[in-house]
Amino acid sequence: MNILEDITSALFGEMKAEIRELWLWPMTARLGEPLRYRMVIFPKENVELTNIMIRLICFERGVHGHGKNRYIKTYGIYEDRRDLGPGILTAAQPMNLEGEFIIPRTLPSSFIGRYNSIVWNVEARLMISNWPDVVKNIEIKVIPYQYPYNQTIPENAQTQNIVPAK
Amino acid sequence: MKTTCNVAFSGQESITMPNGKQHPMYLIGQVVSGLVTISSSSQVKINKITVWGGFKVHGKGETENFFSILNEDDKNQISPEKPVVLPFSMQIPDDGPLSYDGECVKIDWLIKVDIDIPWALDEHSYHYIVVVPCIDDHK
Repeated sequence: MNILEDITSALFGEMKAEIRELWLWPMTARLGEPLRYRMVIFPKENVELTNIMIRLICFERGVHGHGKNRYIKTYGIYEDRRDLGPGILTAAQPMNLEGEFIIPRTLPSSFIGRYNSIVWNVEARLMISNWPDVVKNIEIKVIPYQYPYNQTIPENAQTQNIVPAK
Repeated sequence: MKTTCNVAFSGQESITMPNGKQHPMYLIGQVVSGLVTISSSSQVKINKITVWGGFKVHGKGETENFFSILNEDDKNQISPEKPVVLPFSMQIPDDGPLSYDGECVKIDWLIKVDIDIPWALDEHSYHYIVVVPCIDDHK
């Protein structure tokens, strides 16, 4: 349980529903290919939802400033969002949601730099009326599109002795 | 600058960048090859020529990831009559990263040529390439 959930449960008591499972396949996705998801929602009591949302997002995350003035800023690159709209969940009856996202092949792949990164994330959110949202986030790795290109280095190419830079 | 360095990339499509400059365009996993030509207007003694390939991430905590693709220490001098011509070849890794120019992340792929000149400042030249996932979408 994370800090946010601790605070929420202290203020509001037990959560009315939870995202028991958020399953993604493949965890290392490829640009231009589908990313499948399955979400299992478990309501602990009868719950009125304003929305169930799952989205695939890609954003830049940059660290700015130094010391006490250090802060993280994000810039959105892409969002694919599925909204299921409002509904009522019956207590102890789990709900399964399945689907897939197609990741456009022209987008940037995941990149983790020292301070700046390109992050791919899947966020599932239950919006319960008059209650805090239940959120689950999973960061995924997205690798570049595999072009049907099969060129290999010729034998006489001068690429031997590849050594790391100083 | 005592020397002039040119890089000719072999038979490759190019892309015009927003700043009007043209850079050769390569696919991820493709082999980058070409010729490095170093010439000079006078005779210049050299220790070593190194050709590096890799990517550079701009911004805070600038990071470079270069690997040596050619290490030439046989050449002792460059003269106007006899420029140094070096073929090179490098494969772009399948897992990237791709060239990218965003708000706070900028990734540039480039070929860097270092010329080690004795008793003088070393000379460096940078030749940018663009690494894309698929050429059709960038035409």
